[in-house]
Amino acid sequence: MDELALLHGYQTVGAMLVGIGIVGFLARRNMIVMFLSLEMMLQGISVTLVSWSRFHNDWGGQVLTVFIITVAACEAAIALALVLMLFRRAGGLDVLFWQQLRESNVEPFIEHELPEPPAEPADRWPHLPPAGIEPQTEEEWHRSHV
Amino acid sequence: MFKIETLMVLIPGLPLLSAIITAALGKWLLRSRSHWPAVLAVGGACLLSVLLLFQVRREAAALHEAGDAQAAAHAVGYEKTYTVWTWAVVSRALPARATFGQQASETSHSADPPGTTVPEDSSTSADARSLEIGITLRADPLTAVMLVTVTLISLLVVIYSIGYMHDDVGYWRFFTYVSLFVFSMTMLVSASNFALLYVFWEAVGLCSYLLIGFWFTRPAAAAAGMKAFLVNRVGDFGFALGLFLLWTTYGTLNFHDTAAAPGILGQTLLADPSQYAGGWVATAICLLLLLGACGKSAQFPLHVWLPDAMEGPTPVSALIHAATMVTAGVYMVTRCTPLYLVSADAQQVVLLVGMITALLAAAIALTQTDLKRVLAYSTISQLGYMFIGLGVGTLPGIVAGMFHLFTHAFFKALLFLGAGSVMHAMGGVIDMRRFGGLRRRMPVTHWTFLIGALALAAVAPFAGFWSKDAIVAAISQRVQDDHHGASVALYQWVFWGSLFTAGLTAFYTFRAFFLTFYGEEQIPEEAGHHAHESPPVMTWPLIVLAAASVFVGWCFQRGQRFDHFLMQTPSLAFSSAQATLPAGEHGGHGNVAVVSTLVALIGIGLAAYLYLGDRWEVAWIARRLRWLYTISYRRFFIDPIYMALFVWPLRGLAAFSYWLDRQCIDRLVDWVGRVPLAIGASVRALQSGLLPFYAMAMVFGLLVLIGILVR
Amino acid sequence: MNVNLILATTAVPLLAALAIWLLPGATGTADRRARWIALAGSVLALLLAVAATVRHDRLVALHDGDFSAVYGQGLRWLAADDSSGIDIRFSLGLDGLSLWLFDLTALLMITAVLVSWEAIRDRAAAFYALLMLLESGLFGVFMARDIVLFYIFFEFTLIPLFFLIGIWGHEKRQYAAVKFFLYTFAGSVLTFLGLLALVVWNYFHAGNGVLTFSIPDLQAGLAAQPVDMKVPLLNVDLGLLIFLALFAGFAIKVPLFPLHTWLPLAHVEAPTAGSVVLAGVLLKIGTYGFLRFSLPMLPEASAQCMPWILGLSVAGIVYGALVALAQGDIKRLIAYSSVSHLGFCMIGLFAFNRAAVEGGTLQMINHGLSTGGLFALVGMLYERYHTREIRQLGGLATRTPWLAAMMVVFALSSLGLPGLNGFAGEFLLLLGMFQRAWTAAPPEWEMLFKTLAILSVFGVVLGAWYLLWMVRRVFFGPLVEPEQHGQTIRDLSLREIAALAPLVVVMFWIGLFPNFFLARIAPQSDPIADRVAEVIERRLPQAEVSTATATRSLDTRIAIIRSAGQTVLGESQDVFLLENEARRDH
Repeated sequence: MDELALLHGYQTVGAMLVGIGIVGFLARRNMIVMFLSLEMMLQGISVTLVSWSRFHNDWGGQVLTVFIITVAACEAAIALALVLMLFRRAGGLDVLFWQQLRESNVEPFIEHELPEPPAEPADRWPHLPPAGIEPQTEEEWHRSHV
Repeated sequence: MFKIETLMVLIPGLPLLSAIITAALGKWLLRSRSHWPAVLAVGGACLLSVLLLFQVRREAAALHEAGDAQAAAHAVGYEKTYTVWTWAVVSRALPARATFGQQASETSHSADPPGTTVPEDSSTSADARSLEIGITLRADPLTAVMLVTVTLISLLVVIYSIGYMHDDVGYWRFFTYVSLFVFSMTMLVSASNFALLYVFWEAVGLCSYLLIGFWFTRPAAAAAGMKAFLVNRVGDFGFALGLFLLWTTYGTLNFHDTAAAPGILGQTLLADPSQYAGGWVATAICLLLLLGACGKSAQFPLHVWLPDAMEGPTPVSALIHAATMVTAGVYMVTRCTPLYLVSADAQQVVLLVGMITALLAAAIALTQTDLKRVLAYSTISQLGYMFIGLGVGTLPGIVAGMFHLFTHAFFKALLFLGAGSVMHAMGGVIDMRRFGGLRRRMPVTHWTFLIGALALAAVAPFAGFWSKDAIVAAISQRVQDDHHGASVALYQWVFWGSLFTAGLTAFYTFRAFFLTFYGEEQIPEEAGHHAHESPPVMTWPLIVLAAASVFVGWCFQRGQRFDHFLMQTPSLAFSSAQATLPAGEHGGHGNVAVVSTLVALIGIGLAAYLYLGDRWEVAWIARRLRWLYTISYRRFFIDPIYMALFVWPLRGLAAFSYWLDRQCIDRLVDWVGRVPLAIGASVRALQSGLLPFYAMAMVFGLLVLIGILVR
Repeated sequence: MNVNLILATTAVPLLAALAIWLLPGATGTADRRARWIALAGSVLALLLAVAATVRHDRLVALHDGDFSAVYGQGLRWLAADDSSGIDIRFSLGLDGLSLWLFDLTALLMITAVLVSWEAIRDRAAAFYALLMLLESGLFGVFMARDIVLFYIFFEFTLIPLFFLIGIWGHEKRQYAAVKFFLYTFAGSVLTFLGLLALVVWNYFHAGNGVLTFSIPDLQAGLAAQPVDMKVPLLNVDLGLLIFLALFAGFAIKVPLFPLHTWLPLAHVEAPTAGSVVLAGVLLKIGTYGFLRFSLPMLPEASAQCMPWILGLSVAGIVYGALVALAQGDIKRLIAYSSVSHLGFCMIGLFAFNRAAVEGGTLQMINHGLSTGGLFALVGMLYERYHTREIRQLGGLATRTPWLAAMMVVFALSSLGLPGLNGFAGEFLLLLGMFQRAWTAAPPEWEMLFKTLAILSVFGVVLGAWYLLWMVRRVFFGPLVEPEQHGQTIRDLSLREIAALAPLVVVMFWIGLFPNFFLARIAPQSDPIADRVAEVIERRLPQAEVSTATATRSLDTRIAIIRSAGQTVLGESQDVFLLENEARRDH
């Protein structure tokens, strides 16, 4: 196969991965899903790097990729631990629970059109809702955490 | 016998040494013996000055005899210089392009296209001038005369001060300052470049400041000291400008020639006076130097400090503010004669300033009731006379001005010391209305004061007569020579004005004399048991000065010794060689002498008529001519006018500037500081704390970036 | 080599600071010990500085004025490797411009320590540690022969002073400290940009592929290849822009007339030692910066800006003097007098002839001595009476004769009395200014220059007025004292005399023998003056002949194209292509 075509293929795959990651990151509010999207972007970039590395016949790209994978692993460990901590504190995975770093004169963002509160008791384990479904949280409960 | 160089260094050196010793040891060790270093040093300096005078005279005479063979050497006079150390050197300070030849012929930049023929490296060209300022002393007849005058009067005043100051707490301080003054003044007259002259010009001003404010706890004394310094600073402002103009015009500040450059008053330029810059530059330089001279010599626009300076101890008034320092301006103008001769306009300004000052001060002196102030105004008036002499523009006039300086030093010091003696006896009271008829209580003071007053009034055999007469004669000579000249009217006015002033002088001098020593005996209560003749240490200087006031004029005028000696000075010798200026031949002297003596006698007679005994006319005149009396008594309102014209506007401007600084400039700075704050506040809403929003913003930014890169 | 000696001079205060900071001890004992350590450190630093000066003098004579032979090339410091071309060196040295400022720093620091002796009781250890740090930093500024090093020290001096003012100052200390810091810092950031621009320009035009930060190298490089490009979009000279960038930092530091408002505030609020060092040395960094960078490296732009800067300087002289006249607070009066006096320094530097530049350089030292001394004296007065209001004081000469005598001496020095130091500098620089105005002014500026020259002399008169007025009100006349707090007022103690006496001695030394100092300044300042003067000479005919302007702009345009071609297209593309080809061959 032609070098250039190979490059194009890998580039396309990489770009798609990054694109999906971005969309996921923007569209979802669940911290774990957002983190997964982030990882996907990272992988897309790794693919791109490897393909360029191959094209230029320069091992630097691949070395960097290995490096990225390593770092990503550490990052995952830390990030998931953090997510867990945040879940413990807030009792939910919604990223909008964490707005404290806003300016003092900015009103907090409160979602008014929230669905009914879940029937389950408060001490639940985190779970992944199906894609495209909004998290089910109670407005007052949400308010109390914001 | 000492070498001249040694004398030149020792004369200022001894007083300096005395100042240092008194300052270091006076307070702890010498205490009431603090006068010894000063007496010894000033006495030594006086002796050495006389030696120097004779030596200069001998060598100048030798030069004169040799000069008959060589006319040029004769024309430039005698001088000797000695550089103690080099104060500052700036090598090649003035690049070649700006040599004085171009400036002298008044070429402006357009007439002198520098761009077309700029040398390759102008700064290394051979014509470049270095600025070299040395501590260079000089000896020539003018300096020698000044040195003798200064040191002799200083010696007498220092001896007098032993008595006058004897129980003052600042005894040692007084003699430190006086020694410092003698050092500065001797350096001033021996300085051999304009920079050094300026240095000691200011140094004597400092001594004057310190001595006027000697009794600093008195607010009037502190204020007077400051006023003297500031008014002198205004004069020095002119002097400094003149000095800088001299540098830009001539490329040197030296009087004498050096290997590098011909000096401004040096042999080269004197031998070829056409090299002097003409036109407005010359006039500007002369007028600016004159401003400096006006400050130091208390001439009309800047005379206001001298009467106030009487707040200082009386010996100081006698020494600094009558005999020596205030004549520095006269000395400088005499020294710069070649410059003034180039600019007739400036010379006429000198004449006018002298005339106005002489008249104005005499008019003010008529009504003052403070004995020292009368004398102060008479000093101003007499200095005006000297300036008239300098402004006449002929050599006899200039020499007469210097001669008047010389004689005036003796009789005015005498008068002041006499006033001091009265003040000492009266317990510090100096208001003539509060004492009178002292002639029996203070006979020595009375007789010596009389001699001084006669000399000041220019009565025939006394010192003042000869010199004042020489000045008046010089003017009348000028009127005769100039009878078809454009400005003959000016000279004529000045002639009559100076005669009139002579009459006024005689009148107010004897008014003061009669008020003090005649009439009812009246002694203020402050005097206490002091009201008797002063101790011998104070009266002996009076007697010596009185003797000098009698003889000095006649002795030196005889055979025109003073004139001939002084004309050996380089600055003057060149002028005497000029064909246009008549050498020291006095024509029609006799008539003038008779007239001026008559005028003086009329003045004395009038004073005797009005003030010997209680005349009703005095009060009558004061009442009928109330406004004239008030103007004179209030000194022509010059002080309030200056306050209104200069001091208060400047104070107002200062307050306004401060307001501007706080309210505008600083506010502006603070506003600039608020700009980032405002920007920050406007974008604060973006900091919402919402992670998705941030992510969106990042992506948006990324898209923009990609968009730019792709485009 | 002399470099070890000056390095030791710098290290001594640093070590003293460390010793004060680290040595254990209870708060009281540590504070009492701190001042002794600081005194020992500053005295030792002065001795070393004097030794370094003497040695410098001998070595320079030995090497015939070759400073790199005396001080070497310095250590390579921040260079990644040889191929990168970056050359930042830890290179120190003195020359005529910095020699006396270096000594002045050492001298004034002793005064600063001694005046704080009793006044600083609260957290004294930290105070003296900061003071010593400041001394090291100031030494570094004047010694640095590398731009990065210079800039590091330049900014470093702000930090100790910020704390000195902010912690030990008077009522509005924090506002003053923040304003001082932000104002000077904002300017110096631009200065750094300007300095970098000079470095980059030199890199592209020197042609040896070395990105040198060495000041002597840059000076030589920029002399050979002056900045003569026009910035494309703005149509202004690049040199002018760089000059203005440098100007921003240095002019604020000086401070030049409209940029001066931080100074009175900082001075009034600072503790005495802070004021002494601030006035004495820190302000000189601004003038020193002009002398070290702006004038020699950008003579064209300096010549272009000359009328403006002279105008601002003279405005500062007159304005500062007038505002000083309106003050009721002695310390603020002296602070404004600094604005006035620094105007004289700037006139000296920007009159561009030998006498003026020498005089201006000397005047920096003079101002440091006399104003530093005046601030010290005001501090001593404040310690006694706890007020600085002129209205509340009067006739103190009877109570404290020595203090009064010292004040008179320093005031006279400050107002330029001959025989004292102030006169020597002022005389030379005014002489130079007149020479510029009367013999070598560009025709279109001639009248302005003459007016400015006369006005600046007028400033001398005003200077006498406000200083003597203050002296008269405070020290002469009948005794007026504020309510005392029960303690008797003593005259100067031995310690205080020791703080002032060295300054007086040096003041007389400079006043009587300025040539000793000038002779060591001249070898560096004269070429700078000559070079800018030459530029002005060159500009003269161009200003007159109108056709010359057209030719010049054409030349400039060609130069722009050529340099742009080299920088943007030429080199970067060459590098890129060469790299690619090399890779293919692989």
